[in-house]
Amino acid sequence: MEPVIVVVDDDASVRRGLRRLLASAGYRVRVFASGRELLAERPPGPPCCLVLDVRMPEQNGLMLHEALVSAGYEGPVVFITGDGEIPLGTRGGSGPSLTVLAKPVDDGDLLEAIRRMMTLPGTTPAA
Amino acid sequence: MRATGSVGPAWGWPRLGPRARTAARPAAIAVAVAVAYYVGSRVGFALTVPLMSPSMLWPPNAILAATLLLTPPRQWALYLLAAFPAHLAAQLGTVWPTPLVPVLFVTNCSEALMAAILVRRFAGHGPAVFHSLRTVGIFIVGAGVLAPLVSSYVAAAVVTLLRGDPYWLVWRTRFFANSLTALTLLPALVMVVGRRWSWPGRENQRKALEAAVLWLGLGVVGWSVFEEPIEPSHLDVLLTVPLAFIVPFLVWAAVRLGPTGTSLSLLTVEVLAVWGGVAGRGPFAILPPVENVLSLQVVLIVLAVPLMCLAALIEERQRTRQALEERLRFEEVLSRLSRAFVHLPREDVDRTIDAWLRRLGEHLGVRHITIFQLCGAAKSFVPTHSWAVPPEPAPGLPLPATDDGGSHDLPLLITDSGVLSFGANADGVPWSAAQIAQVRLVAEVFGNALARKQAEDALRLSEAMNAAILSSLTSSVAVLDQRGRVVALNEGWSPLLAGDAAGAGGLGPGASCGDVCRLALGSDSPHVEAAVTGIQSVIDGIEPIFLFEWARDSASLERWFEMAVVPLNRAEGGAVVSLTDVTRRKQMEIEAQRMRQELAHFTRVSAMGELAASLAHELNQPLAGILANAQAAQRFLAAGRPDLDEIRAILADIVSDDRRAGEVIRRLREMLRKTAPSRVPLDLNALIGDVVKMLSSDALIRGLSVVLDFDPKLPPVTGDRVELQQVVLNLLVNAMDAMAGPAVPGRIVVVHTACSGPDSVQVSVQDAGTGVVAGGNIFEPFYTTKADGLGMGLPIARSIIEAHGGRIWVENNSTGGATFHFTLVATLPSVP
Repeated sequence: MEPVIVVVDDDASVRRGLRRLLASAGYRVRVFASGRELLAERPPGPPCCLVLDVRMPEQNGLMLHEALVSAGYEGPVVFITGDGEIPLGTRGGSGPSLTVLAKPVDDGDLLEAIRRMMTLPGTTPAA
Repeated sequence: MRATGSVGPAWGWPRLGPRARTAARPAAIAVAVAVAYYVGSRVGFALTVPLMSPSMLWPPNAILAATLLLTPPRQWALYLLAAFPAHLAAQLGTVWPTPLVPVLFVTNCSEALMAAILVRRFAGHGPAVFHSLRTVGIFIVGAGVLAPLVSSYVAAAVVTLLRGDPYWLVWRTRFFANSLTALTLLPALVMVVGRRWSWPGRENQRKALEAAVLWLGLGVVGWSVFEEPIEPSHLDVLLTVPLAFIVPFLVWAAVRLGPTGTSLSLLTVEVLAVWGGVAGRGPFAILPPVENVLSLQVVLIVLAVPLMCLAALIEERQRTRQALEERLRFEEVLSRLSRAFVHLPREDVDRTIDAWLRRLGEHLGVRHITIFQLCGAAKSFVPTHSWAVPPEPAPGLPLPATDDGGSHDLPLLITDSGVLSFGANADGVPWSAAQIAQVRLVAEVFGNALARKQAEDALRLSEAMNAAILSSLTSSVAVLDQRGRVVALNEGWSPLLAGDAAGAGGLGPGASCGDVCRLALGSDSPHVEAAVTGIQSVIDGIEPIFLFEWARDSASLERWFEMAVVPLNRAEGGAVVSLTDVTRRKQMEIEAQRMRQELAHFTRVSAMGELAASLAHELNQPLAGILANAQAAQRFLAAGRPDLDEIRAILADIVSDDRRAGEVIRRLREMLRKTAPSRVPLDLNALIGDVVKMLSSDALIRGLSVVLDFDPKLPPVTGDRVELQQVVLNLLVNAMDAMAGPAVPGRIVVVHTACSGPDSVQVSVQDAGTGVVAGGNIFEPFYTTKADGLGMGLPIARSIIEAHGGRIWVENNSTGGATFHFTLVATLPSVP
């Protein structure tokens, strides 16, 4: 099963833009409007990377990430935040498998971060 | 009499009355009566001439009559009953047959009762009976004649009946014996027993000595007359001569020693004569015993009657003279007392009252005198002045004197609020009406003195209170009369007077209100005239109050003062000017204002901050979408195999996002404009004036002033009042902010209004600040040169002015600083 990048953003236009952007870079992409939508659909196989909007109604990006980690997810994650604030629990903004990017996010930054994290040892290799 | 008058009387009223013995010890008296009756009976029997039934002298009846004259009638029965056993004990088994004894007691009692009732009814009772000729006359007729006469008829009849004695002989002997006893022994008993006994003073000692000499002489002469054996050869002279030697002594007693001395002298002569007569000696011994006794009795009665009358006459005259003298002395004392309080300085009144209380107390012989004053809300009487015989404590307020026993204190009302209370005198005798009338006059003098003192005290207290209140005020207070002249000043003016370099020439009563204002405001103050006018308007009743505030620079700091003028609440008018340093209040007001403004600013900033955060998020979403889509499109195109449908979808998304962003901006604009602006005609000058007023304290804090240069003929404009106020406010705050630095000279903001064309008006706000930076568009939002500024003031001003069809711009002044101008369309009056 080919690994996919899972994008969760409540804004439809942003969602579509990110899907197109990642697709243009050759990734397989699944987009969801909310964490609930993602968990309800349960796409087969674990994702190779998460791109999560931090500010979402109901379940925000951080909470969704925590839920997935406790379900066994160990892969990289990209948080996209429009508030300029550093989400709690990110310990300085970036780690080996965690990246925070400010919205509007530049395509170079996003693709570079995904590429870098997915080549780390112990992560699922890129397609 | 003591020379100082401190203890002994310097003037005298009589010591008051005998000891009140009548009510106190009736039982003891009854016993004494019984004993006296028994002894008297034995003496009577001892003086009985042989062969004769009645005695020569019969004391028991006199003892009973004296008892009745000295005691109240309701106790008589007791004493008569007490005498009955004594009668029986003395007379049973004597010459009288037993059945006769109780009958004789009845006649004795009836005689005593008749005498006592007659005398009491017509002449009073006690020793006073013998103090006037009239009462002595009644006594002689009633007790000396009628009572023995009537009772002797009955007694003689009984004796004749039971013993067979010759009736007229018995009657005659009994009548004369009892009459003689009534005229000699009875007065002596009444006066001696009823007399007040006191330690004789020096005056009385002389009298006692005289009495002793007289009594001795009388005794010697009487003895030689009545106790000498009779020589028959001298019979012719014996009947008259020896008796003549007695007469001078009796006259002496009557003239010098009063009724008491007279009756005692008569009694002495009688005792000697009867003693001698019974023994068969003396001038009458040559007669047969019965005739001897009769002659003796007649002689003694004839001697006694005129002597008693003489003594009473002299006593009466003496008492009248004494009463007159006492009256005069009292008048003198009263006048001295009155004089003592006339023109007496207030502070000496208490001391003088104390001194006079002591003198009065000692001279009246009372135990204490106290003045009580009605005090406090509780309306209780509190002693204010008191004198008491040293061991005696000052008493409480006495109850009114009762008739018998109880308190003999005498409370007299002296003022509406005071009582002068005289304690009981040393003898405990109730006050007589005459004495009460006298001391009432004294009380009146005290009362007047106290009332005067109280009035003066009250006046002084009120004056002192006024002065104290005036001097305790922290303000400088001046009281002006209806002409505006100073009537009174308090201490508060002293610092101003001391610091008055211009030398207003001091401020005192009589100064004009102009002087007051010059001193208060400073001689060179431009407001002096306004202040004077204000004061005058209050004095004239035009204004109910005049308030005026101004700042005055002293050496180091700016001080604020307030002048308050209110009418003086008096019929003749006037005003009270009070000058208060309100710097502290002013500082607090300024501080409060500053804090309010800071708070308002903070609220505004935080509201704007939230608005901005919300705005940022709202705008970020479409921006993020646009960027992602646009970059995806770029990448698709760069990949060289563009999917045109995808590109079209991307462009559609971008257009949609852009519209979304536009929508956010539009909503923001709507939010900023909360209400639809109104359009009404407005007086721009008044509107600007209002705003300047709102900002006056702000200007104060910043230490600068706003000068208004208005065109009075400015036509009205049409617009929204609140919005245009906002514009003026923003421009003024901006101008003030521009001069915030400490090094700016002038510190003046000038606001001009003028007609700038046929249908436009122009408002200019000129500051002396740092000016505007060339090239910076200060009317753009969020453009600010201030550390805490938002950069929204001028953009809002521009949007409002433009919405009103006007224009706004800024120029730097040639003299420094900047001037903001705006124009508005004038509303011309519609031409009919």
